[in-house]
Amino acid sequence: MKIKDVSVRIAGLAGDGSLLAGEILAFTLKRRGFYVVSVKDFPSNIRGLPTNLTIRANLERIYSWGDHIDSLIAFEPSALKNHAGDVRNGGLIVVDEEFDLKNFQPNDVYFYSVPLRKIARDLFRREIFKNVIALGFLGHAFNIGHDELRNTLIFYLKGKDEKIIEANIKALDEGYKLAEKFVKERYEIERGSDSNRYYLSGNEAVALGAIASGCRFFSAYPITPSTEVLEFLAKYLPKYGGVTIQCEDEISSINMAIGASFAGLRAMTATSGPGMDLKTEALSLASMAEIPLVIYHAQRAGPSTGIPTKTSQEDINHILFAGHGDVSRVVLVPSTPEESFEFTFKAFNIAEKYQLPVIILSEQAISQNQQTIDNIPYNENLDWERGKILTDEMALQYLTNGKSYQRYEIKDDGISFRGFPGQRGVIVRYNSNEKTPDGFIDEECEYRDEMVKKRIRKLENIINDIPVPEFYGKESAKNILIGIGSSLGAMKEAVDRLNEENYGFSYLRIRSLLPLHEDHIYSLTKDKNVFICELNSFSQLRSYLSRIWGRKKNVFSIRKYIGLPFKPLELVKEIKRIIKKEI
Amino acid sequence: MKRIISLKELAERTAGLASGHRACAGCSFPSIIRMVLGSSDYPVVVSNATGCLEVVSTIYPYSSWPCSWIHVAFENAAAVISGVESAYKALKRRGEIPQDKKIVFIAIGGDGGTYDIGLQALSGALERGHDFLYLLYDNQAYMNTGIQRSSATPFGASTTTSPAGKYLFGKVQDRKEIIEIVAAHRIPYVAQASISHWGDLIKKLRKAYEIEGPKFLSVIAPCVIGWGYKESETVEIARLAVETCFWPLYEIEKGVYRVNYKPKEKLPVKAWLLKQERFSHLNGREDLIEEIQKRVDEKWEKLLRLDGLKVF
Repeated sequence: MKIKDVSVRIAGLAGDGSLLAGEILAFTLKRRGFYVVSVKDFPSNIRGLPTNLTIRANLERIYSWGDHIDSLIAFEPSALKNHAGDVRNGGLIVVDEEFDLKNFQPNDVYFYSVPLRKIARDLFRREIFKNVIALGFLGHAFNIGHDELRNTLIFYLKGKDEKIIEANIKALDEGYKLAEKFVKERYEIERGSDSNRYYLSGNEAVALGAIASGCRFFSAYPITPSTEVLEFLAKYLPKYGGVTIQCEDEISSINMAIGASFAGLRAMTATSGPGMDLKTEALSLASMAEIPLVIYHAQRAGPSTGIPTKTSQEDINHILFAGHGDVSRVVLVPSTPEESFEFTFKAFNIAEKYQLPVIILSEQAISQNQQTIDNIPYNENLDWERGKILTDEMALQYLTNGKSYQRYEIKDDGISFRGFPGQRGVIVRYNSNEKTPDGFIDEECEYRDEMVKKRIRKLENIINDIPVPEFYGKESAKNILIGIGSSLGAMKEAVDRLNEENYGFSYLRIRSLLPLHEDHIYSLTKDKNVFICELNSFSQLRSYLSRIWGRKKNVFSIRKYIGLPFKPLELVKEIKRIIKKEI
Repeated sequence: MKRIISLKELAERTAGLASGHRACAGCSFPSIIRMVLGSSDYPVVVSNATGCLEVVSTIYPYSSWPCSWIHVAFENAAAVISGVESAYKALKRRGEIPQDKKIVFIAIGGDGGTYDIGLQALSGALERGHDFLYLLYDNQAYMNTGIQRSSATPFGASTTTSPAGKYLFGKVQDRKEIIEIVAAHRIPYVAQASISHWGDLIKKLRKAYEIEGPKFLSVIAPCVIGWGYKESETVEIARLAVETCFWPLYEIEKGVYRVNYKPKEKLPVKAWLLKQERFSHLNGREDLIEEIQKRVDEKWEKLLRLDGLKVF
């Protein structure tokens, strides 16, 4: 039987090449026409602690890493101990023969204890080659053409020393040879149609989205799990006439972006929870001074330093409520690389149209994990909507009329014309104090009431410009699952499985937290049992959504907070438990 | 008090950083911290900013720290140690700790947490005059997040955010002169050291522990991954930095500059640069190597002019 869905976990220690071997396999499967989802589980120090990469490949588009794995390569005894239980019956486990296996009882799996390290030492004098040998072993077991893996290997090692490339190719050959001796039953991996799809992470998609949307100024401070945006834009933004600046801290990186936006460029900063703590003051300022700004925030497990390299949805409250006073903002929540791109593009349009900060709330599981996607959702009809901008003619009018430019002119829609420093005829005055329409401090509070109302009026129409929640399933289903971000894949598969057992389920994935499509969500959920899944312990999403239902009784929480995204089976089990016990 | 203790004696002292931490093979800071802790005859309290050192040294269920230790956010090591030191003062005043009990307070940060995000807190603590040692281990980039440039990264070095390629030759800006910035606070003791010259390093530490008020010690911390060299070459790389005068060993004690080591034969900086992958793109770019040499020479000559002078 040909296999259409396959998952592999490669587990070892950070720095021993497990991640690289996994990536090469993932890319090979992508080239074979599979949709691939990868989940990296790695520590925050560079070397020496357990790390693993799970890849799942399917001929149809998938979003989840599934429940079980088909095969495991364990480079360390601890890796075997931690992950062997996840291998499904009939699966495959490859370990080094140097392990002490006295206390290990494999389930119903093909278990191969092979001399990975020994070959690496004998042939290359370096154990690090064990990862490519293991890759070759897997290639044979999966019946993947030798040349397919070799081509990807060469692609990944491009630019390295010739000798290193040669040695790696030899290591791959050794892996195939080794497998021929050991493997009892080979899998037949299917081949898909399209081998030219994109394989990219959320961070890469955000960086591409920023370039496509005309962002020409990016300033940030390195922080996991959003640093790759900084690295990507440092490399590519200058080619598009833009500037990327790595700042001395989180505070200056957001304030620099504020400066660039004031000066007229589309500007963005990127961060994670601890960085957002420091950026909060500037968020208030951008809202009060009406400065368009895009903030990309990839969540990690907190509080404080927390678990820097693992995912969470713990910053919902923080992102929605950070800042003192009535701070306005927009919060978009992507789930996939496509949405990471699309929402970044949208974020700049919203930020400039409504002249306020827009936050893209992602998370480690999306930002640092790669997925195969069909297309980057870009076409030439997508416009850079810059909103109300003071033209040079308008600016000159001020000079002719001898009036001072009203940066904060009271308008029916709450949005005033944005002029830029240096425009002839006007002095551009932004202010984070409460102010008069021309930007002077309003100590007498003469304009306070009008100014507050103006800022509120701006918000009324945003709802038309933001992504609506995604609804999946039948409206007649009596149960509905709600979630955001990385929960997408598990929600989809859980709903399908529950429906196979006639549980009557649908899901609603919220893609914009602020503004919130309250009426829409209410109409889809009011007569149903509501299950809210989220990656935090405080039920932050549930608390926030409860404004929609008031004290509705049949709302249930499913929470997980160990730094990993949901698995479909976890949701299915928990939902069944709740239904049995409470409904 | 002895001004210097031997390596043997240091190894016998139990107060050093315990082995079994998860630093990369060849990492330099474990050796530095062993000397820092082992050189103190007094109880030590450490405030440790986020970074490689903090991440690798206290992983459940083990800790390499034989002393009281608090991990604080990236920019706050100096602020938190200020609080700790002041609290001890108050406890002494209240008689809860004997007046004559000497305790050493150490704030430890990497270059990111010192030159960049933590500079404000450091400056505040120096200006207020707390009795503490600030230890900077300078590996010249953000290594823990994957090698991004910092304001300590040298001119010409390639990092992921100052990548060498078609458009750039690595970092285009020079390093901040942190020693001069700190010295401008007119604190009693500022020094620069290297593990390759361990006697000098221990002497500086032991001197610092006896001085009342703020002290600052900057130690070069070669990084196998970020700099790109063989694990076995760490001390050699540190030594070459000293021998080429890229990293002069000197101190400013009560305002008096003193160069502690003058190489008999000053090696060209190229000898240090081209041993590291982060500078490997400079191979063949004699113009850039010359520029780096010029900058090193300027700083070294300035230092020689200051040698022995009292500047405050």
